[in-house]
Amino acid sequence: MAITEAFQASATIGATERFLASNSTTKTDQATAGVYQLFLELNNLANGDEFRLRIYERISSGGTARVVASWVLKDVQVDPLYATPTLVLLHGWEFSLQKLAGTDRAIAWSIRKVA
Amino acid sequence: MALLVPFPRSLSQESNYSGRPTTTWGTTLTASATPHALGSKTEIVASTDYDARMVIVRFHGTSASATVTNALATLYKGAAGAEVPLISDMLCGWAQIISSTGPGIGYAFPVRIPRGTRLSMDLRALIASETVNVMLTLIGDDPGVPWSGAGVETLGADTSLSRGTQVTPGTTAEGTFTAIGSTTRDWRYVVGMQVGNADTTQNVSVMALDIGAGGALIPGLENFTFTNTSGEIVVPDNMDPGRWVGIPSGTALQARLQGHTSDTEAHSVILYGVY
Repeated sequence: MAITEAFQASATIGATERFLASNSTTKTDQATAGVYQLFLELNNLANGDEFRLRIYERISSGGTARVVASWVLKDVQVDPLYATPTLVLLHGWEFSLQKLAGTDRAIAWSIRKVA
Repeated sequence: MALLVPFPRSLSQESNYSGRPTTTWGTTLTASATPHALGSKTEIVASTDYDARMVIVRFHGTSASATVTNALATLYKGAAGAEVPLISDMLCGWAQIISSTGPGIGYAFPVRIPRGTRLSMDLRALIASETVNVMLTLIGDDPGVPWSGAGVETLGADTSLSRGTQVTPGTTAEGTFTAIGSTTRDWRYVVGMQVGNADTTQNVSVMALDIGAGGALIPGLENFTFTNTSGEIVVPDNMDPGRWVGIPSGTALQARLQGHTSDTEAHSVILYGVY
């Protein structure tokens, strides 16, 4: 069973939600099935910054993408690499980042896949 | 093959009080000589030793008979001169005297504070140069809480008067829902506080606080309980510091009160949400 890096990029994240697999502020739901885990490099965050991370998925191929989970990443990160739980994603998934407060920050991401 | 499950470790804890108890146990904050202006920040912890997942804050020593003692305290993180608020405007007036009437007003928030963090606080109050004693405990590692958040949002604070939003209680029926404020984050853990009376003569009452939206109670946010005494002291139910209830961003929150006796005086309410 192969482990690969499905997507890797970086961008300056601001108040407009940015979709990570799409690497765009326009969301394109991903339909390649797999077990995925997202890593974020948060070394640029400073006190006063807040970023919201969301995971989207569809319950069926014809369904609507909805939020599975979300986290707020706030202030200086003592452990600057953040990893999400591993999720089985199938029908129409995506990850996103959006600044809620503070300064726009350059954040790199890596979406890793099993299978 | 047997499944090996490690037994729970003892928790790492650190606090700003130790040794023999004193009447000012903890750190003393001092408000400005100008009523309602912020006093100077006071360092509470120079550098936290552990990654914390829960912070417990207890205030004592502000109450005085026949006196309105409205006060708000804020907890900050960050280096001196570069502090950012972590928990804003905690109601801390009307708090017991630890050496005679009780342990004071307590808050517990499941919020992450990374190791190496500098913590400080400041105080604003109705009374010039008012003081409050704060006892802070940080709990880390694996406290068994289902989740810990990144920050705390405060709704309903009136910093111009060092109090919360005024809510008038009902008696034989619930009081009317009063608007407190709208959430700008997704709340996962909710704290409701009622601390403070409209004048120097507080009615003795058991007071129950409900939190709602759109004129309806939010399930799980009923009956945060407080004892208001004739000595102008408010005692929260410190065994029920908060509720694990999700509230979406953009929710216009309201609060209502009901007392066990006739009490038509407004009381001060602030709501806190961990996100």
